[in-house]
Amino acid sequence: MRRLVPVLFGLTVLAVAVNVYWWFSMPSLEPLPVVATDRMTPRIRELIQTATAEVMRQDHSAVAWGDLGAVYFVHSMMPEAVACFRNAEVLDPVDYRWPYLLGICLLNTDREESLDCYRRSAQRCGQKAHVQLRLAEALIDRSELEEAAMQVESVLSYAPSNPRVQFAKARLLLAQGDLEQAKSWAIRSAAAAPDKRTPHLLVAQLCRRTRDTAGETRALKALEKIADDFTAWEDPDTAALYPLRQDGTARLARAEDLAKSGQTASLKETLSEIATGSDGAAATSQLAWILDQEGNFRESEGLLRQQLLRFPKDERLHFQFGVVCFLQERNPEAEAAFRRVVELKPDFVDAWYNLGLTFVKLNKPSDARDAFAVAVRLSPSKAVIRISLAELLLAEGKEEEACEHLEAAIKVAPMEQEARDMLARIKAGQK
Amino acid sequence: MGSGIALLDYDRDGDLDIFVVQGMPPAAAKVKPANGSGFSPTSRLFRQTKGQFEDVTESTGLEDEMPYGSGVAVGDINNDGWPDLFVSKYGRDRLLINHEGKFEDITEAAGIDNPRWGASACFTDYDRDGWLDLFIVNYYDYYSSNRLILPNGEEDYAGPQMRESVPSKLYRNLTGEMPDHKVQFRDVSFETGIDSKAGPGLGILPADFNGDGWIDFCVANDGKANFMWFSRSGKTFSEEAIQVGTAYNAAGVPQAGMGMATGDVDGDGRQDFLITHLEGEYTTLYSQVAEGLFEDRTAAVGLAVHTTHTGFGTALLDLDLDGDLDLVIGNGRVRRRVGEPPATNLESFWQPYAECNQTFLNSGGGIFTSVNAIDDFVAEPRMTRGLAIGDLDDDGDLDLVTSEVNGPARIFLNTAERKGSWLIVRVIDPRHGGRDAYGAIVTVTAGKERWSRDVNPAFSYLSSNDPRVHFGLGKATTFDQITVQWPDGMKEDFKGGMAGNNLTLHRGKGVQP
Repeated sequence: MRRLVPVLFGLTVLAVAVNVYWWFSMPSLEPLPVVATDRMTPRIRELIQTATAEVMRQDHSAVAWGDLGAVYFVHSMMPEAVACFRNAEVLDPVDYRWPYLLGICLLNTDREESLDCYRRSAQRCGQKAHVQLRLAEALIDRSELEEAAMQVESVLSYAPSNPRVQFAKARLLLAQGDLEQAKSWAIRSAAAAPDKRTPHLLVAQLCRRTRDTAGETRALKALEKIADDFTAWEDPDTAALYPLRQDGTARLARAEDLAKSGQTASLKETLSEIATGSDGAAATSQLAWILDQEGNFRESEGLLRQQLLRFPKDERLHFQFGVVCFLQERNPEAEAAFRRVVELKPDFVDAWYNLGLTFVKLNKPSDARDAFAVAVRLSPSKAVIRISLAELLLAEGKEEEACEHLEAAIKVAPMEQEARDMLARIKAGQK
Repeated sequence: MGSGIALLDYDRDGDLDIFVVQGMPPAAAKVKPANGSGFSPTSRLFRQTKGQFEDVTESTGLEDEMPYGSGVAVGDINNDGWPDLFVSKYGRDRLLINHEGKFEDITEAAGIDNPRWGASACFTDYDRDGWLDLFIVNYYDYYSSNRLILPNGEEDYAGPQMRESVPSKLYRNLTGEMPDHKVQFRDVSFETGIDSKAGPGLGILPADFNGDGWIDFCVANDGKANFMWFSRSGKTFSEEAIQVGTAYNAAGVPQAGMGMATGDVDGDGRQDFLITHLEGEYTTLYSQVAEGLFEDRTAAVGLAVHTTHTGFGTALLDLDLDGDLDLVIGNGRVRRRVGEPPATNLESFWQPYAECNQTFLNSGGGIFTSVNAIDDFVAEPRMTRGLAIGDLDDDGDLDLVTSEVNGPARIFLNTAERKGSWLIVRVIDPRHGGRDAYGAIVTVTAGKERWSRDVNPAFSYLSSNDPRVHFGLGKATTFDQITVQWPDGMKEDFKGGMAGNNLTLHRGKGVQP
C-alpha cells in the first residue's frame, strides 16, 4: 500500500500535466455561431440544428465544422460560414477545401484575406485545376499577372486541354497585349467548351479587335445556340455542397429542372410545397398552369381561389384564374379576371392579349381590337399579337393597317408562316 | 432603385438650379410632414439665387403627387432656349415643357407613352435633324409575387434575375415637322431596332462611340449583358456590345450595371467609360483601345480592388484641376449587409444598407488612387443613388449634388486643393433656339496639351448634369484654341485666351479650320 501511494500520486500529477498540456496546446477556435432560426423554413432550421449538434458532439472535428460551414455557405449566411471554415482549417491545416471555401465566403467582404485563402488552398491542393484557377483568376482581376501566370502554367502542365485554363491563358495574353495569341487560346477554350458562353464571348471580341470578320460571325453564331446568359465554370467543391440548399430560390430552380426533364409528378409536389410559403404566389401560378395543361381545371381553380384569399392583389394569380375560366369557356368570368389584372398591372402584355382573345369569344370585336392594340403598344415585337390584331382589322376592312402589322410580325419573326400566308392572301386580293 | 437629381438653369438667370426626383411610394409620402423639414410627396425644384436655394415647386407648376419617380432628363425639346424636363417613373412618365420658367405636363399630348418601369433617360439628337429626341431605359417587368425570402426568413431585394427584361424606348422628336412647332414625339423603338433586345436597363450614355459622327447608345443592364447600340446613320441601330467588349467584364461575366460615366481617363484622345456595380463586383472601366473597341482595364488602373461597394451615381471630373479626370462614386447597398452595420445616424432599418461614397484621384496616366481624406462626401455611410455634377457656386470647379434613399438631397461644394487653372465652356447653336448643343465635342488646346469633352448632361445614374463642359487645365494659364465639332460633324475653331473663364461659344462666331 505504501508503495502504491507514490505511484498513484505520480499518475495523478502526470494526468494533470497531460490535461494542462492539452488545454494549452488546443487550437483556439471561433465560437459556435448562433443564429435566430424562428423565421427559417423548417428544412433549413433542421439542417442547421443537425450540423450544429454534430459539432457539439465532436468539437475538434474539422469535418463536423466544415459540414456546418457548408450549410451556412449554401444559404448565404457568410459570417457564420466563415467562422466554421476557419475552425475547420485550424483543426485540419492540410485539407485545401477549408481555406478554399473560406476564400469564396470572404470574396465580397475582404478580398485581401480571400486571396490569401486561395493562395493557401492552391499550395495544398496538389493537381486540382479549379482551385489553382480560382487563384489565377483572382490575380488576373487584380492585374497581378506574374503570379497568375505561374498558376496558369502549372495547371497547363498537367491539364493542357482544360478549357478554363485555356481561357485564363487567353485573358493573360490579352492583358499583356498579345491579341493574336490571346485569340488562339480563346478559340481553343471555346472548342473545348462549346456550351460555355465566356470563351465564345472573348473570341467574338478578339476577332473584332483583329478584324477577323469570319471568326466573329462564327463566334456570334455559336453564342446564339447557348441559351443561358451566363454559366460559371464547373467547381466540384462548391457543386458538392449545393444539394444542401433548401431556400425558396433553390427549390424553384429545382422545380424548373424538373419541368425541363418532364418529371411532372415531382414538379407538382415541389410546387405545392413552395406554394404554402410566404413567397408562394409564383409557385401557385406555375402549378395552376400545369394543372390546366393536364385538363384538371377543377383542382387548378380551387387552388387559385384559395391562394387569392391569401394574395388578393397578386396579378399573376388573377391572370391564371382568367386563364382557367377562359379554358372552361366561362368568358364573362375570364373577362373580369383579365380586367382585374390590367387594373393591378397596366403593362401586363399577356393579360391585354388574353383580354383581347376573350373579347373575340364574347363577340366584342372593337373591344378586342383595342385590347390587342394596347398589347402591341406594350410589346411591339410579339408577332402573335400583331397577327391577332391584323385578323380583326382585316375583318373590319382595314387592309392597309392589317398589312402593316403583318409585315411587322414577319420582321420580328421571319419564319412566321401564318403572317406570311395572310399577307399573301391580302396582296392577292388587292390585285 | 432610388431616384435621380438634375442640375439645370431652368429660369436662365445664370445659376444652376436643382431638381430632385421623388421616388417614394404613395403611402410613405403621405405620412411624412409637409413642413419642409421632412419628406415631400412630390419631386421638387429648388431655384438658386447666389448660393441660396428656394423651393419653387408650386410656383413653377411642378407639383406631382404621382409616386415612384426614377430618372430625370433635361433638354430643350422645342428649341425655344428654355430647358424642359422628363421624369421617368414606375408608372406614367412625365414630360414637362418649360414656358419661360413655368412648367406644363404635355406627356400624352406629345405622344410619350411608356407604361414600363423607366429608369435613366436622355435627350439627344440621334437623327441629327436639329431636334432633341428621347431615349428611355426601362428596367424590368415587375410582379409583386416575385419575392425573395432569405434563408433566415427575412425578405430582401429580389434582383432582376427573378424578373422578365423589357426593351428600352426611343422617341423621335417630330416638332420640327409640325406646322406650328407643336411638341410631338413618335415611338420609333420598333423601326429603329431598339425594341429588338430586352434587358434590365438602369444606366444610359449617349455618345459617338465609333467616331462615325452619329450618336450611339450604351445601356448598362443590371446583371445581364450591357447593350451597345451603334447608329446606322441615324436610321436604325445595331447592338454589338459583345464584339466591342462592353457586354461583360474581363472574365466574361455580366455585372449589375447601374451608373455610367464617360471621359478620356488615360489621355490617349479616346473616350473611355465606366459602369458602377453591386458589392462583390467592381466599378468597371471600359477603356477604348481602338475606334469603337473597348477592353475592361479596371484592374490595370487600380479600381478593381477598391470599388467593391454598391455604386450608383458616378462621374469622371477634374476635381483638383490638374488636367486629368478623377472619379467620384455614390454608394449604398440594395441588400442588407450581413454582420455589424457601420456607425451612422440613420434609422436602424437603414443602417445595414449604408456605405461610404468614394473619390479616386487620377495620377495623370489613368491610374486611380483612393482618397482617404475625411471630407463630407466620403466620410459618412449613406444610401446614395443619384449624383449630378456642376459648378454650383460659379467658382470654376465642379461641385456634387446627391440624392439618397430615404434621405435628403445633399450639396457638396468642391474644396479640393487646386493644382491648376480651369475653363468652363457652353456651346450653343443659334439655329436651334440657342439651346445647348448636345452631341457636340469641345476640344481645348494649350501648348502640347489637348482635352476633349462631350456636351452631354446625361450620365451618372438617373440624373442630369450641368450641360456646360468643364476643363481642368493643369499648369496652363492660357489656352491656344477651342475647337467645337458640332453634332452635324462640322468643325469650328474659336480663338484662345486666358484660363479661369466661363465662356459661351455661339455657332458661326468662330472660323472653319
